[in-house]
Amino acid sequence: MSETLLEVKDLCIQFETQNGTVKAVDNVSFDIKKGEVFALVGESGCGKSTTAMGIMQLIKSPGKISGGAVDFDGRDLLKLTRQEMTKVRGSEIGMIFQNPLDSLNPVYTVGNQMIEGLLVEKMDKEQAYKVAFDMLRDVKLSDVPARMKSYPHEISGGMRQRVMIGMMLCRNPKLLIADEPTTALDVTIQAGIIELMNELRKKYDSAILIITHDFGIVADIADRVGVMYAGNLIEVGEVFEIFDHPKHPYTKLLMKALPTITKEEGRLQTIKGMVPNLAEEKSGCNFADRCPYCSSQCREKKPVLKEIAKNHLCACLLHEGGEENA
Amino acid sequence: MHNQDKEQALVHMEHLKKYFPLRRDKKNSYVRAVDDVTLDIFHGETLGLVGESGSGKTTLAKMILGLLPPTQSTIYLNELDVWDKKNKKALRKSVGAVFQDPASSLNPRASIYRSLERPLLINGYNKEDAKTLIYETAEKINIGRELLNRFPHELSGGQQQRVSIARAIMLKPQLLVLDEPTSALDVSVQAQTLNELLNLQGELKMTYLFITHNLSVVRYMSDRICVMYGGKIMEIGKSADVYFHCTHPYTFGLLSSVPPLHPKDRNRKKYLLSGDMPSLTEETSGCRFASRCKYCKDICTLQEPPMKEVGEGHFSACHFAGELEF
Repeated sequence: MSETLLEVKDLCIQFETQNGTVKAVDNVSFDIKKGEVFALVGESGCGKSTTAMGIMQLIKSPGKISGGAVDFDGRDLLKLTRQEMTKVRGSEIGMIFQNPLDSLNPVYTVGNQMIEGLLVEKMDKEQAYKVAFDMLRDVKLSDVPARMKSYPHEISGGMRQRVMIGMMLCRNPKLLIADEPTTALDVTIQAGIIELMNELRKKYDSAILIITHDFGIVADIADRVGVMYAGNLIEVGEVFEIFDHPKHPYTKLLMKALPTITKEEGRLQTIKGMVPNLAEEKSGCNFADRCPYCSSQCREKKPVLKEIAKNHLCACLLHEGGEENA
Repeated sequence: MHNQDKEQALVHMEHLKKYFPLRRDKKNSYVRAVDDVTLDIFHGETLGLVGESGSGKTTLAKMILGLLPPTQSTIYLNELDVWDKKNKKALRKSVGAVFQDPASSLNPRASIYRSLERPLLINGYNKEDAKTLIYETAEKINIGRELLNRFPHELSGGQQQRVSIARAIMLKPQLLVLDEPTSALDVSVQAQTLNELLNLQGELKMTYLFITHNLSVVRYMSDRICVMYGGKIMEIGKSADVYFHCTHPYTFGLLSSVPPLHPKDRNRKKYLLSGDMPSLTEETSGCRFASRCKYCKDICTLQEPPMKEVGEGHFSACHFAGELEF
């Protein structure tokens, strides 16, 4: 778990809108090591999904990748031609989305869709059937022969997501990107999917980039965490470190906003104000207006992600000098 | 079912049923969405209603709100029959509702002010009084006056939900039904909304029926928790009792599916529910949960478990309630 698989360097993604250019992802840098589970967390609109779409190069107009590099397994994905990138998608990087029904084709059976991907790899039909069959068993679907012949609408939401995970893993990708894979599911089903992902990551040895807004899922599966806010990556660290010693004020407040208590024990911490409008050009820290520790410096100078402790990076001026103010 | 007198209950129902007919020509072909529910909601309390999708939570809420007629039995609010036409007018004022998706519960073509004003005018306020009340409520719930002239699409999700809450509480209802009010919101906005709801409850002495699938939220908000499964109540009791000393295997399964609050709890004792909720169309003789229960014995498939009192005000519908060790 030391070799770097994916390195995102200063990735910038912009959207041209009527109200100006929105910097949805602004100088985001992080890396994912082989076999590791990296979680990107943040609230809606912070750019976590856009980052993932950027890695996959699925950004559509009016959005565009305006800078940076995505080094994956020794080459820069942003420099690949469209055909080369098509080969990377699916076979080297798999991706699953929040709503599996949108990703599955309603007019083909589950089996057919799984086999289709394998046939692209020049596998013969019989072998592909076998691989798909074994995969569905691996993702713990009951009655696999019947499921191979089912259409997506005939199976439940949890099963569909299992099919998606299976479909992605049967081509043995080095990286699996999971964008809110359990948000549409019940907690009981979610727990099963998380358990499955935990199991399969060991078996198939893929790295996982999981995108979620739920710190519970992060606690359950991630090795390292990146916290995003308003297009910036503001804190990166190992999961225990982030939970035990969050350093960025936003991460701290977010942790306290989680309902972990009862109403008799007190009130939840709230974060005053709203997410800034990303179309406006502004200097300084994006979180400054909502930050309880904000100083005049924060409004002038934009903090950059710096290592403040071993394997713990934080983008906050409070920690710039390495002192502990907060 | 409860020790408290019937008079103390604000909402009272006995053996309430809602069967949705499937096919007109076939007899006994129903979806048993709510099946034999006996429940009291007491003055001033918050009752949290939890369960997976399809467990009948929302159907029950709709019947209490007078939006869906029960198949059998009826609901009493303040000892008045909700489904008696002559009580309708009086009762409409005493219940309020907030739903999950705030955007769809606000009229997109009416300004916020108009959306708030309309229920007041219908209930006999004149324009002047309505204005005073709207401004007063808006202030109470942190909706800036400048927002009142905007349209729903110009508001953020959290603001929209605050407007829905404002509209629901303006007529000072005795009962507020909150159906997944924070599921569509981000963590920090969720915290704000929950805190506001608690403040309002203290101020206006309202009773809450809080429906959610998020067990941490329900623990924060509720005095009592009611767990539903397959249209029936599985366990009900004080929040702490249900949360920390649950006696029903389903409650335990549900609770252990909740993602941990800290990565150290990753390897906690888990009881993952396998399979899906059984079809509610078939008549079952035994326990609804039997097909997924790992503690299932012969008696469970043959005989329906009665509600057993396992502690003060703590009831569980399991043959082995109190005997099982989780």
